Amino acid sequence: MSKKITPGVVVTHLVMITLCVICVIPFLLIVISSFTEESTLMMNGYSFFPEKWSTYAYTYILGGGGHNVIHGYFVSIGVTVVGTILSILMTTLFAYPLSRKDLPLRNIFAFFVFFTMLFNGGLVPSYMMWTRVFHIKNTYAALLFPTLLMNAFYVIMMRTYFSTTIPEELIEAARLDGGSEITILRKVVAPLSKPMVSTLAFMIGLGYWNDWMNGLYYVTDTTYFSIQNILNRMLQDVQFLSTAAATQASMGNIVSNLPTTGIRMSVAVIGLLPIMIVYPFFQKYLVKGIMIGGVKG
Amino acid sequence: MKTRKKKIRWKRYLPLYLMMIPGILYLLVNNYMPMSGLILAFKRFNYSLGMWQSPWVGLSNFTYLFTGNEALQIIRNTICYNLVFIVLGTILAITVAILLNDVKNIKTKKIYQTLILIPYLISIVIVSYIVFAFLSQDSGFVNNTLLKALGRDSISWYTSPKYWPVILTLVYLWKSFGYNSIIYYATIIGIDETYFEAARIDGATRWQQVWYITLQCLKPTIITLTLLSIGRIFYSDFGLFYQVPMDSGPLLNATNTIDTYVYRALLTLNDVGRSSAAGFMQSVMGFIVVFSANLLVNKIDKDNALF
Amino acid sequence: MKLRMKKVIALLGAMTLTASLLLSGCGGSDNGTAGNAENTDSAANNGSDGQVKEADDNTVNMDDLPVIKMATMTGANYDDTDAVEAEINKILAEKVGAVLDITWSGMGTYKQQVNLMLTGDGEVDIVMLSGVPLATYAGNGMLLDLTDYYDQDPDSFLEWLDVSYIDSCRVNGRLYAIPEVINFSNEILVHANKAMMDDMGIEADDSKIWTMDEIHDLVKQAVDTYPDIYGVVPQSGSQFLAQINYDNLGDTSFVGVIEDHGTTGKVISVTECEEYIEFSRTMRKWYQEGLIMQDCMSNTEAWSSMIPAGKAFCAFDAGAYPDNASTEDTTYYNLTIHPNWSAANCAVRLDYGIAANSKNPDLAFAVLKELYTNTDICNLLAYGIEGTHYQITDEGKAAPAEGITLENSGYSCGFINVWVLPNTLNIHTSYTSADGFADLLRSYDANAIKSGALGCVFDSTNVTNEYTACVNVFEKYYYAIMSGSMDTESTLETFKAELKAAGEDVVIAEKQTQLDAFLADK
Repeated sequence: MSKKITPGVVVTHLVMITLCVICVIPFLLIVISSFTEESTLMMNGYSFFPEKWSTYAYTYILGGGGHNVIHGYFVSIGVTVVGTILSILMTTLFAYPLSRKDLPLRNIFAFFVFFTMLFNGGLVPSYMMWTRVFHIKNTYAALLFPTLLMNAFYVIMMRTYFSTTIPEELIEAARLDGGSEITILRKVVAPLSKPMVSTLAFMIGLGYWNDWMNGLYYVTDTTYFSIQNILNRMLQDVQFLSTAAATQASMGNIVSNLPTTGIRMSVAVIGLLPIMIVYPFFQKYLVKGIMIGGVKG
Repeated sequence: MKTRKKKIRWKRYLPLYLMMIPGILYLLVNNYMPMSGLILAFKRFNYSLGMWQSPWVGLSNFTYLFTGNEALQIIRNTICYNLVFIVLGTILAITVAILLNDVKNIKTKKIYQTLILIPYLISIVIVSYIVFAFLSQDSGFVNNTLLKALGRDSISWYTSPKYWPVILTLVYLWKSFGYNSIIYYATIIGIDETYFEAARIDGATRWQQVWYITLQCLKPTIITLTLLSIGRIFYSDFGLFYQVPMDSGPLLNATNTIDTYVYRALLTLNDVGRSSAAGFMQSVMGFIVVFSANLLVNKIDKDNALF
Repeated sequence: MKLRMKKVIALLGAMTLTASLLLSGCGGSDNGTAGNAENTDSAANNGSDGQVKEADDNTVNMDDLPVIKMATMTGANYDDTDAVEAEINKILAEKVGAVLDITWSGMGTYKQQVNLMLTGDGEVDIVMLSGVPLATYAGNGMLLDLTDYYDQDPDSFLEWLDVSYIDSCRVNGRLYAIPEVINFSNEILVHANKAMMDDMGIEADDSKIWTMDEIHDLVKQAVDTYPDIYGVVPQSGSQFLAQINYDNLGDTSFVGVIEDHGTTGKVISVTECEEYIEFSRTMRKWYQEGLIMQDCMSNTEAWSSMIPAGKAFCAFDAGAYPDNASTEDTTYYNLTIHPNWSAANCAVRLDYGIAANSKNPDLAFAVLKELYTNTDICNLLAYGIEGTHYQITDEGKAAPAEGITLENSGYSCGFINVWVLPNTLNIHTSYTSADGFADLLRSYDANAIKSGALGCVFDSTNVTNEYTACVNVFEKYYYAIMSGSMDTESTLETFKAELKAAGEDVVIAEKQTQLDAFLADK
């Protein structure tokens, strides 16, 4: 570090470090609990320095706990990659025209997008639409298309970004050079938008990775379960068994195989792991995008 | 209309309209067509008759949202929490975004960015376990370690509603600030560096730069994000208000919102009409609020209005 | 601005119109446009004409037979379901002329998934219903009226079910579901940690009724002996104990109860119910003595994992435990504190119905009947294929097959959650149960105290507004008071006042009206 250290820089780093610690500590707690022996967890509660360690929870889950975790991983990765690419394409194509201040009827289209954030018809009509017209029940399309493919919020963010950071003169100049709109978008706008595109790609990817709602509504065949569906089902079953007893008839010989606290924690870690692995790599591109888009801009 | 006179303009913009077609089709299929389901708010939904043949019931699906003290309290809770979330959330996110931009070392910056997003990645169910690990009566970190060290009696967090407005706000901020500050940060790095250089040459202080350049450039994003949150002011994050307090009964006065109320009330009844009515009310009220807010923005600063 | 508004409105109008046209269109044209997934369905339409086929002597081609889809719940994954289905279908194809396709849904997600399936067009035929208000479901047009099918041959069901149980599933005289054949009565009891009891040298006499004072002394001794444990933990989650001897006519909350096993004929507020108040006062004392888990309002751990882990001494619960019915070594003793009794809704907690939108209602009912009455099918459904998944032990009981454990089994429903099946008694006795378990359970039910309102199930439709408000108040206080974690007297007062303000009187009056009508009918 060749630059001189001012008090301002120190404060900045102090605040950021504090915030980072606050963010990481609970996550550490989860990871450690997932490696804590079950009885220790029960007797001593959550601790950063457990008496006994154990990998039982992981062997239980990876051994299946009745579910195919590896397959679920592949489903998740496939859906996330395909979904993110499609989604970024659609979002950019939609946001760019909206950002053009000279586009006739621009505000009406903007309203058309925004309106979807306020009103939704509810689950039942959406379900009927997707299952009866498009027959997506128990297909991979079910994980891909409903709700997640294009989010009005991201369209608006992208539009705001285009209209605030890309100079109109640049677009005008490109057009006078004879570039078609697609060329302008590809050659002029897109390179300048890398920070926003990578940010949104990450958010969208995260949305796909973390989604379990589509799987819950549109998938009953476990072959199509993503990792989140598997994890969600495990957690939901625990909750069901721990809250619904009052309405259930019980019998003496029920053996209920409840995932315990340790297992719930390792479930969380397993779901998070790929993101934690992918994110730093993604960050590289994010930072690169920032350098190109930000410094030159 | 103008367009008839300027046919050439249409031709010029045709490629732009074509670009929007996939998005428009998707929104039609995914959002607008199911929106016809809003009529269910005025019907008694019958599964065998379907959406269109089900009998009309007027406004009776709505009455339960407005009868008694409970209803008043949940509406108040929902709005108050959202207002606090919007104000504090925005301030915190912008502060962090600006600080992040000040960090010059790329590697350090990368680490910060990675770490502050972690809470956003953790599912709310797991967050509820974390909160429990801190607040549990006899094994929690706060009671067991902090309060003991201070020589105070332990507090029964899950039966004392008075602490929960603060707890829930903290949890919300913790979980969301990383995400929001990344969005602001993406805008900040798009700001033309020459502005800052010019300002520095003019002798502007750090604060002046933040105030006159960064915040001015962030204004459109702030306005957009705030307008969007205002539109959802009658909604609440179900997980935050249901899972995090562990569905503890005694906390309900502080933790009950429209969504959790509707969930509890209709859990067993499976009443599609009444849940549609709640959704309809949330949307319409949000629409009215955001429409007025947008009008206001339109008056002051036309460019930044949403529509 | 005005011009813009007009444009917006015009645009919205156009969109709504398109939307409605498209949606109504798709509703109508659905039969023709079935995609790949539904091919089997259209085959079903051609094949059956809605009639139950007589078995052909020719070999039946199973691919051509209509498919009856059944949804039920599970806590595990049964990888070999297809193989088991194939075996079941060999029998069904011959007897009914249809084949069965089972969808196992996770327990926690079951209700939502089934409610969605029911909106579909023939997406599901037979559904397991768990703790749903039948009157509401029937009123919503979700379920098929089974009365006429049932009346053709009631005896095959009556062989397994008491007529009063079947009548519980009637709404306005029409039958909408068949109760599961399972236990119909529960006792209130305490699960006490076996290791600790043995260690303390206390004899667990499970033939007597324990008094609360005796339990108190027991817990006290346990807490004194093992200072690190919880004395009493909740029945489930933050629910301390659902109910004792008051009947609520089957709604999941206790807004309006009838005392004394529902025999008084008078609906009162739960805040005036002697048994509830008495129990709560006792628990408050226990709580202050430190006998009860201090965290019980935010608990997510099940007693069934805390007791074996040695973290808790005991928990209150309700369940069916006929004496000597279990041969398995469990980790706890069951100390009865209240003899078993059948609540008003005992037969509608778990039942099976048919979707109103079923494409093949006749065949669906025929299949459902086989699922109740055909012993071979019941065994296949419970334990899977003999030799592959289970074997018959020397004592004539079902046990996992050679080399198969509950963890690696491809099909273990009967051993781990048999209670989701239509008939849980028309099967081999499980190796964990005593000889003649089915008969033991039946006589246990027969000797149970019967609710005065058995079969009367509350329908909240007329008072939904007040009812929903009351449910929210109920959630706030009912379990908190019962667990002793809040001051009994003052919280009871608040509970009472808020219930009144939420319109409890209206709900109670409605419940009373329905009860009176039911009793008069009887």
